[in-house]
Amino acid sequence: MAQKMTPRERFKRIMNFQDSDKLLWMEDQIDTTTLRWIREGLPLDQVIQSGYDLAYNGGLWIVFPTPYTLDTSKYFGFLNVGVPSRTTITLDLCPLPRYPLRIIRETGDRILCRDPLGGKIEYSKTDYAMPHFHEFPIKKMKDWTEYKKRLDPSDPRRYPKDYSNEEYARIFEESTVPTLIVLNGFYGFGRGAMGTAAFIPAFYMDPELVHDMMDSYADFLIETMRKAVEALKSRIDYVIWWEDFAFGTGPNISPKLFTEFILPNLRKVTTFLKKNDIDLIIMDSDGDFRPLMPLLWEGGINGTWPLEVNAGMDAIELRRKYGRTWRFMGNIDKRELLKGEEAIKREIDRKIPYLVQEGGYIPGLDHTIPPDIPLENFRFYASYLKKILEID
Amino acid sequence: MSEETLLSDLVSAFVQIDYPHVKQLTRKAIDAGIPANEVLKALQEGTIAVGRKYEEGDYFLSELMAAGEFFKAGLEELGPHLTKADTHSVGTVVVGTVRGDLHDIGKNLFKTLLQSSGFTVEDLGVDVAPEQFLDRIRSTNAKILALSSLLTTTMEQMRIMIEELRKSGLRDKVKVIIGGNAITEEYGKEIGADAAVRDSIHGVRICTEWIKE
Repeated sequence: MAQKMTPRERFKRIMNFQDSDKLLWMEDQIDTTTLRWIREGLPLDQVIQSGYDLAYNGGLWIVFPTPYTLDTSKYFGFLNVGVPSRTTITLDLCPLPRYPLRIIRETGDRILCRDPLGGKIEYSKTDYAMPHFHEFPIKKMKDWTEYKKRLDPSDPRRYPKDYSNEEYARIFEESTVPTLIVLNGFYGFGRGAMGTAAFIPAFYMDPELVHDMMDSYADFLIETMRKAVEALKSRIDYVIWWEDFAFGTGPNISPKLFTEFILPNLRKVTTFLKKNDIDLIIMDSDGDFRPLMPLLWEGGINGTWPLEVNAGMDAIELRRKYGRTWRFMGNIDKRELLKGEEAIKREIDRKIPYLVQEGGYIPGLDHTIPPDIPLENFRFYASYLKKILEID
Repeated sequence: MSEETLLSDLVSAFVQIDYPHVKQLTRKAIDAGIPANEVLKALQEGTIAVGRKYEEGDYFLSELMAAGEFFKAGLEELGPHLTKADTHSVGTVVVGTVRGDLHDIGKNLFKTLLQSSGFTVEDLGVDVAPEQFLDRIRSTNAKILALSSLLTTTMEQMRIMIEELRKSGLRDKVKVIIGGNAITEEYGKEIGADAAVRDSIHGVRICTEWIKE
């Protein structure tokens, strides 16, 4: 009898269009959804997890200790896209030193802060909600010139104090779950530093600034990662490349702008990764970015999540169009989970057998599980999907 | 360069998303003493032409947003030269992002494009409560209410708002347009909106048609 594969081995085989002893299923979840489900009867003691993962890296998250978290992955049986079901390299790709955190105003359930990444952000104190960005650190070239000083790849704080390639090599060698690096993409970086409303017009109104940001960011990423990537090589199974650069009506930037400003830099980064045997680069973006897919492929991106159905992304259509090239994750319409059992079955039956058969695909919802999905509906979805995938 | 050529070049620069030229030609037109309302019309024409190319699939959000910013910059440049008569409003639209939602990029783009089409926009910002919308509709006598929501979790606030309009007796006096990434026509019908759109250009076209009615 063949030896049972680890989730990591399965991940690598599936992502290379090969057979696997079992199929995988990946979801991402926010605590608000879990809290709703706890109120609806989800056993609390089975969803509290200790944060044993090495934590996120990347510009979006500041590394901090998370001793406990809510995680339903073990309870339902999916391989979580977030912590703790994967192993990440802790690299600090944020501005260093951080900007001093300062509370500017507190009113009712809102709090306005000068955040450590340099912006002014308003949060809700009582509920999970997307924060409201009042101000971003970069408006003009002079701001960028100052900001850039905080993106020194040789700053020793970019790696953990006790970092050693040998130690990571051992951890990654032994890991039974996929290992990865999380990076902000070029659009993601620019949007985070300038805000969408200023960043997009800047391609036309201040092209010199955008060129310098994109070019410098490519060099910054490569030089920051170099120590780890050149030592760990294919022990790193994949890279998550966060962009979020599209809405339901199409990509936020045109193919023309992408080609001029981003493609050469993207190619530079992915060439560096691929030269070091890191071949799988999965882009995280909502929305409909189909017009950019050929350029992304040319730039070295070869996988994507979550394939938002409401934006017109259809993994079946894309698989037929591109053949066994792109790797896909997600694409099960989360809105169908609100409609009940028949709708859930229909959505799964329509997509999953074909996509799984074709390979290079890991099922999951087309984004984070939203908090309006009742526990019972998700329970049904989970059991029906597992039945179709023959996983238990 | 004749007035006509200068203004047509300005429109062309807009359509080519050529900011240095838009800036230069706007300044040149002002310096040449071309009436401000004529320059304004060229800025509006340029923005509308970019919108058309967006609808036809030749341009993307980046070009549309850039055109909106060009228009705003041009308007600022033109500001001191414009009289009240030059900025005659075709109608008033109250816009805002519904309660619980703090997103404003789509709403702001819609606002700029409405302004470039001659509307007066009463922008209430984000996280707007129904009573704020009602107060502003009453105080401005606006005929159109535009509600924005990006999140599926806050879309329900649009239904609540329309219900509040009905309760206040204003529903028959105001057309309601809803917009956002997750909005569908089906949802618009379900909650009793007069129109539901996912892109700003489409929304502006609908508002323009309503005003003509």
